[in-house]
Amino acid sequence: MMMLGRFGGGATRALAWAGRRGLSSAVESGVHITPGCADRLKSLSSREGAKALRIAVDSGGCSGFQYTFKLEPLETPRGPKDRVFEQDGASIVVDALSLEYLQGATVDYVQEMVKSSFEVVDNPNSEASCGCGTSFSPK
Amino acid sequence: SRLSRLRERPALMKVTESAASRIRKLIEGHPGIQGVRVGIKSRGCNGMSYTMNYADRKAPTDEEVGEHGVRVFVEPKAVMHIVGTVMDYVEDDLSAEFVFHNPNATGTCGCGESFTTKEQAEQAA
Repeated sequence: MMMLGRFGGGATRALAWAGRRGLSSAVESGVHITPGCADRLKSLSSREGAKALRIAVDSGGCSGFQYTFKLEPLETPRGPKDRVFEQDGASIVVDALSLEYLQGATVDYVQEMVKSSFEVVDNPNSEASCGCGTSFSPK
Repeated sequence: SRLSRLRERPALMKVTESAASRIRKLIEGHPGIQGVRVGIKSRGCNGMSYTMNYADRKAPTDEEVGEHGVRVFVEPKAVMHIVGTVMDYVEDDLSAEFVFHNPNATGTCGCGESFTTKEQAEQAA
């Protein structure tokens, strides 16, 4: 499972990409969740109660903006401007302001030997990103 | 003698119990894999980042660190950049990663993934 991490991440990304290509242009908005990301959220939920992953974009990092990730109970009251994206039983919450920078982005749980973590792997709004991928500069 | 010289030399790198336990888990079920090889590559906003791969044997030029029953091989070109480093493994719900506490690092990236050392800065100059 984890052993295949180095390749698993890439394969997941490729799948996500293929999945997105397969979708018609009608589904362009929102945040895409890879199977790897959904699996990780589901396994966390089964251990600690249903969880949603909240992703926000803040200023900071070496490229100007950075992603922040936080787990919250699925039942947390949502703000009026929060949007929830669901896929394979996994939920991602994004506030309206952050969504402007995350429209069309893909969220994955990238597994490599050195590091496994939730990451925004493909963001059409990002022009350049930091080596670690947590920081980016918008177009 | 050679033996006493070896004994006097401090370990190139320290591997915490947490890192060793993770390495053991990674290697489990991989017959023929003897350990992991740690190296560095130019990447990231601060010059260098760490690499890790399965190692089926110790290369003649590798430096070996053996601690808590695991074998960690260090690539020769990485040695001078990571001497004195403590290799740890930390895990939470959002991420799980090997963390390198490197006394040679003079600058690190916001995310902690890339770093610079004095040696590298001098080489670049």
